Amino acid sequence: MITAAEIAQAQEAMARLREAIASVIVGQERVVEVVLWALLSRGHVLLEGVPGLGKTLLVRALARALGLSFSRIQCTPDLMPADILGTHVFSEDGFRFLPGPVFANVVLADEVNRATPKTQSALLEAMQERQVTVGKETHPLPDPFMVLATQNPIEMEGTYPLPEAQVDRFLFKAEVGYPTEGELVEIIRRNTLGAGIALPEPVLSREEVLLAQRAVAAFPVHEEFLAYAARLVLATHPGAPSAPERVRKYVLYGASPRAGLALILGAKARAFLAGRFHLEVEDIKAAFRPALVHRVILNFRAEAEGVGPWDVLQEVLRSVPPP
Amino acid sequence: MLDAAQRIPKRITLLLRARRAFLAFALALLLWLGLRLLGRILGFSPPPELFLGVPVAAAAAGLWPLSVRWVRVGRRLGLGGKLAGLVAALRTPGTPFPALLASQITLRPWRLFFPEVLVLVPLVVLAWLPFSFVPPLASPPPEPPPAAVEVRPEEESVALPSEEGRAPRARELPQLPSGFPAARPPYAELLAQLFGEDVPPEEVWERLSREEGLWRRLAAALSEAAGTGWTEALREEFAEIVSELGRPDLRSALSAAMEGRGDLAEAQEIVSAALEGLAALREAIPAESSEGGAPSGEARSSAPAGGEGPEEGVVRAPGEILLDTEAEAQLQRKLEEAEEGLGLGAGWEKGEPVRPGLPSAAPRTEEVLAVAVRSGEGPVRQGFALGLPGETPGADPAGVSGMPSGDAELLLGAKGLPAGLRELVRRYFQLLAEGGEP
Repeated sequence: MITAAEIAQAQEAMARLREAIASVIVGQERVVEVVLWALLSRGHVLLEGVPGLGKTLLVRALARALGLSFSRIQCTPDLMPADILGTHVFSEDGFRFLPGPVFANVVLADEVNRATPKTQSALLEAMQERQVTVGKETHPLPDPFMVLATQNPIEMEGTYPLPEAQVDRFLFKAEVGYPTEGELVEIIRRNTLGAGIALPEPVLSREEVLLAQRAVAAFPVHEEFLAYAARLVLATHPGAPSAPERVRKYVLYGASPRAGLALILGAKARAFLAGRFHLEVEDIKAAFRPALVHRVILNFRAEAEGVGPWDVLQEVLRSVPPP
Repeated sequence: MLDAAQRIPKRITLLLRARRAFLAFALALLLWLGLRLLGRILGFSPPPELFLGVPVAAAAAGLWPLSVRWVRVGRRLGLGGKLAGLVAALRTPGTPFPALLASQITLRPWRLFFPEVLVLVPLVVLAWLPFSFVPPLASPPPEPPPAAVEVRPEEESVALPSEEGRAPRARELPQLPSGFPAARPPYAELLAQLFGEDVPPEEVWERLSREEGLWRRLAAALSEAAGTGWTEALREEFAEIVSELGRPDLRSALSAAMEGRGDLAEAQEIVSAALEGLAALREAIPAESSEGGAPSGEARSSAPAGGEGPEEGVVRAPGEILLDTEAEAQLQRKLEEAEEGLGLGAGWEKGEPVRPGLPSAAPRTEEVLAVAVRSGEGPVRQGFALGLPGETPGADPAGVSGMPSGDAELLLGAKGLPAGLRELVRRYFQLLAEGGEP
């Protein structure tokens, strides 16, 4: 049972966190927002963007501001599951479990699509189960636990694209775009003048993070919003009666039920971060792209015609009437 | 605070029911007005009970099960998703969200009614307006007040001095049209013209009988109103009687008198004149048919025509003539006999144009009948026998000459005819004298 004072405290803590990240990351407000949604919703984020856009810096700044443990996994084709999860080592006391880098509150899996499917699968299983089983022992992961994986969309050579089932385990996908001119000037200025970029100091505790997660979980959502989210998800299925024309034409597989969860969780987190205690239709619309863009599988025709997932999803958003 | 939060959705539900009832009321009213307008145009009147549908529709709409779309309602109230959030929070007890949301909600109920009222109220007003401007097209248009009958100097010279004061006003009796539509016998034509409507002769007597009772009741009501003033009961009775009258111009004149827009004395004059005319006409037919032995005058009021005794157990109001089928047939026969008396018997068929001719002496009956007078009806006066000079059917039109107008005036004046009727008859014979086809 959460109290009004705790809710207010959590909202205040999240405001501090945003300020701390904004002091390091120039621009990319949308990406930062999605990362915070995932943090509040106890989910994981797939950050997609070309190198040099500050993805790693964002994750490091978040982990530092949160005051939580942070580990980074640089994914390569020779990375083994045990390198991520941990392994048993023999010591004087016999075999004991040596936890891998996944045992941290905030985990950065850099260039996750360069790891082999076997290693990816081990990581994604840990993300889903929030525990690691090695041999006959099961080791729970720390709470809060959040994985932020990055991938480069243009370098496909020597990569192992994440299977659809595993991509689905990321609550949101944040597409990191190029900064604007003003933002780029600020990035250059910060990195070339003075002592370089200083990561923020911790501004909130682990308890405050958990409190904020509880507050968002208790956030009331009316059935009309749930129904709206369900209609949006169903409209991405080419066989659904409500599917718009572009979905029927270009979509191979529609979004999974996890997309509905992501929509509502993202909307709740967005409303919470805005200092509200209720949802608006705009919250769901704002969460629509990061929650669904990686969950819709397009067909060959779409690829041939250069149609992307967001091109299709925009029509879905237009065609489904809000409550 | 939780109680306050719980009251908000209940209050909004109540407002939504009121809004739905209002919408249903306005739409049903619009439908009713549209039906009335349609009836006004097409000449039918929707049953008044149908108006009960308006409040019934409003009540049914207000009580009908309501499925509230809280997000939309919240948007209408300017609350966004707060209302939906509150409803959702109230369903999960034990959280602080209901109180937090209730503290942020300020209800502005008028916003629920805002666009609908702006649209529907002007619509209802617009739907009402045609009733002020569109006349009932299918009902007879109000008759223009007939022009006063021109009184010629020679007519004044032959008129009995005693008649001048009590002659019915010319405006109550319509002018004879310039040309006779001579498709019917002249006597029936005269009666039809007297009633101001183009009615077949069979209906003339029936209407005369029916309206005589009404006029007598009007006279009684007016004399009572002159004495005691208009009471509510008297006003209702008067309005009921007036509404049954056949002549729209008389109806409007009497209604105006009752509502204070006209003169009470004028109304009494109208009624008195009508009674005099009706009495004269009532006596004319039996006088015409007296050759068949029918009783005349007041005796006919209580006994059926043809001399048969009154039906046992039937009480008739003074002056009221009740007709049954048999009596109507007898009256029809008498009317035909009267037509024969006018020289329309042998060789004349119904519908055949009547040719002008010399009046024959045979059918003239100059017996003077006494008319019983009731209180308030005026002085004792003489009736007249319908000894109108007729035509000789089949006579050579070239050799026909009309009655000299002076003779006709003398004859009519001696019969004590009302001025309007006398004018009709005079013009009729004037046309005949001019040799034109009636």
